Amino acid sequence: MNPTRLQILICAGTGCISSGCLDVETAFHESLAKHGIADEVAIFKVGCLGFCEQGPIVKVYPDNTFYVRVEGKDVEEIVTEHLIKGKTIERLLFKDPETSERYYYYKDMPFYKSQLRVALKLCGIVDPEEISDYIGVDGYQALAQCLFDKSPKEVIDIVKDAGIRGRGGAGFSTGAKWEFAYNVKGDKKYVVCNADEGDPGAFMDRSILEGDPHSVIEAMAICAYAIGADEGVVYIRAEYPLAVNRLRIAIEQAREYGLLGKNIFGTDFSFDIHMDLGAGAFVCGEETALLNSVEGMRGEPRIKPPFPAIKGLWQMPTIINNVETLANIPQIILKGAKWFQGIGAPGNTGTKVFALAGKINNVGLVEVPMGITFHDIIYKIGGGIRNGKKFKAVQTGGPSGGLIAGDDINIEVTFENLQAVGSMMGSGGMIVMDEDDCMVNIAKFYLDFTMEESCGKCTPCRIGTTRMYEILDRITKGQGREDDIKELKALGETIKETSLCGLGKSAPNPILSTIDMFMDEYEAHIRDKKCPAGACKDLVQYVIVPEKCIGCTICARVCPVNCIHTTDQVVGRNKQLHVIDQAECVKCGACLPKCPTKAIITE
Amino acid sequence: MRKINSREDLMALNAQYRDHVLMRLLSYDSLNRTEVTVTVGECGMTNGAKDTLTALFNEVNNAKVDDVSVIAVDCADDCGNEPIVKVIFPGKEPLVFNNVDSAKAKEIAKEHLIKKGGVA
Repeated sequence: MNPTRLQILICAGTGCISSGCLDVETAFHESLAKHGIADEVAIFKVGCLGFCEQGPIVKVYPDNTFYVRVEGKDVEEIVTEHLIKGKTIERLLFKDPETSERYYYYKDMPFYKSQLRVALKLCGIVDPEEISDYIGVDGYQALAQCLFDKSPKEVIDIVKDAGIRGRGGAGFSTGAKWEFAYNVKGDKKYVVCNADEGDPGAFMDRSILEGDPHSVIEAMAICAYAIGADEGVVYIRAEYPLAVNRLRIAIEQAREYGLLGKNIFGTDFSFDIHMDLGAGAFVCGEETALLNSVEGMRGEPRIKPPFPAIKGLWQMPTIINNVETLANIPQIILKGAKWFQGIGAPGNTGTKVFALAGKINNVGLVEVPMGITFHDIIYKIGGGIRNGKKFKAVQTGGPSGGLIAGDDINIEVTFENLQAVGSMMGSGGMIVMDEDDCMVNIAKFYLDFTMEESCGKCTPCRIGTTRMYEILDRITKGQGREDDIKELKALGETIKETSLCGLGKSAPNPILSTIDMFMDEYEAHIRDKKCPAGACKDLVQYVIVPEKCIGCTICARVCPVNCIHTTDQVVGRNKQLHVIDQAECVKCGACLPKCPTKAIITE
Repeated sequence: MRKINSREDLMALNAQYRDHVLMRLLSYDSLNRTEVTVTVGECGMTNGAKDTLTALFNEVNNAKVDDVSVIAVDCADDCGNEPIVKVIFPGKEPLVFNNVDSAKAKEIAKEHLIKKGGVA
């Protein structure tokens, strides 16, 4: 395999594939062949580069140019101008929406500048479907080091010293967990990778499996060696077809190279992995429900203790680690615990991947050292709030988490700090909300999700979330009652106390957290029957201000139900004043942005 | 089938595949790399910039220098002197060479890049 002078990387994560990166790839192959330079340029499809907002992304090496929003029709120009003549194509470079500055290199871009990629290090560098790339960047050397130079106890000590905590939510020490399983005597133990990523808006685990599946496989083998297991299971949802496919290819290639299977590296260590596809139930991300699902039973949580590390899959000692946690392990072994300790904050070492979504300029996947502030993530990396609106709150931890608002965005991101302000780390979804988001409505959205996803085993969770949802629903419809808030709080506390698993224990969090922080919004809904953000349809009226209306007819033309009528009153240049018939209005909001004089308001 | 049966097997494959990904890794941690640029505008190409580029790339690549990127760049509007080769060390004044043909390119690589790259 001869290295080529030029390499083209095309981001082929799910995001960029949806934006059409496969057409870009085809166009490159055609154009290179046409210009007779196909053998001078290598094209790779790589995993997610994180900047999904700007996809499809194409990087040109060795000069490391970063092109955004590349379409098939741009490819010919890239080939003739950039690849052949060495001219960078300015219009395809990332342009900062605020400063209009164009960036040649991604390292200069504010989106990447404050990031530190550890778990995502190889995402966007290696071709996930070629094990040779992973071996070329020192892949599987961490495993070799463990097998030849270290005892299982030494491996556990390194992971423990590094201080890495589970990235799936609760933040339990990974090394300590491994030690539990190591200390249990037994011939049969399991390593399970939890790839059942269920939080709405979170996609870091999917991106790691799509971009760098081998680091997860290697980490599972390292864990197996450390605790004395010989069988691994990746529990992944069938809704992630690309990740499933790339992982399948990676497992097959690892087997072919003898990196999975019997007598790995000629030692007496044997380990193999198979995949188990989940049907996408949220509760199966909970480790004991996941084990039930793997065993073919209903995905319902088990009573803990015994913890899975003592009695897990088929009642055998089992380590369940999240994808992102595992992706850190090979680098911790290669670079040492000290190196990892040097990243992040004391007690919260390393990095965390967050999926930025919502009303933020740079939607995408970011990895930052622990201890960074939310303010930096939202404003430096995320590029601030979309359309210059006012920041209201950021939701972390998905349906199990809470909101962070006001001055709390200056807190450092650590497991403890998030808990202290009533939220949680969770898997790392981060949904940013602006002044147009109604907090009661947001709480209702999350509860709708957890209510649907409750497995039904515990009555408080099954019935309680439904009752809470009904209350929230009537509040958003203007039928709230004076004691509703008290009842929501009482129900919430009861559900938290009396549910078996994390789903029920945390389902009331978004509601309790919004009540805590945005009591005024709840009160406005209940007492004044008004939605201050203008998001709850039943509480909003669209009205035309007569003094501003110029009778241009634009609103009447965009109205889908023709409820905007003319009157006899003359306005503007001899035109007729318009009014909205409230009985017919469906509150779609179509007229609002179209009015040239901003005469339409919500109240 | 290239079954890995020992640590040595893995290291041999690592050495074999490394070249292939090195460029991507190097550019990723690009702060400390040395860049060698060759102008490939029309005058440059007429005067053999392509051979210069290939010669530089092959020399650097064969010597397995880890921290050097060979990059084709746009015309420098200095037609009489093209192809122009610039060696840009991180944080230093660049060295500039005019009218570089493939023989001269090999010399530049040997003198300034391979020694510099710390290859024994």
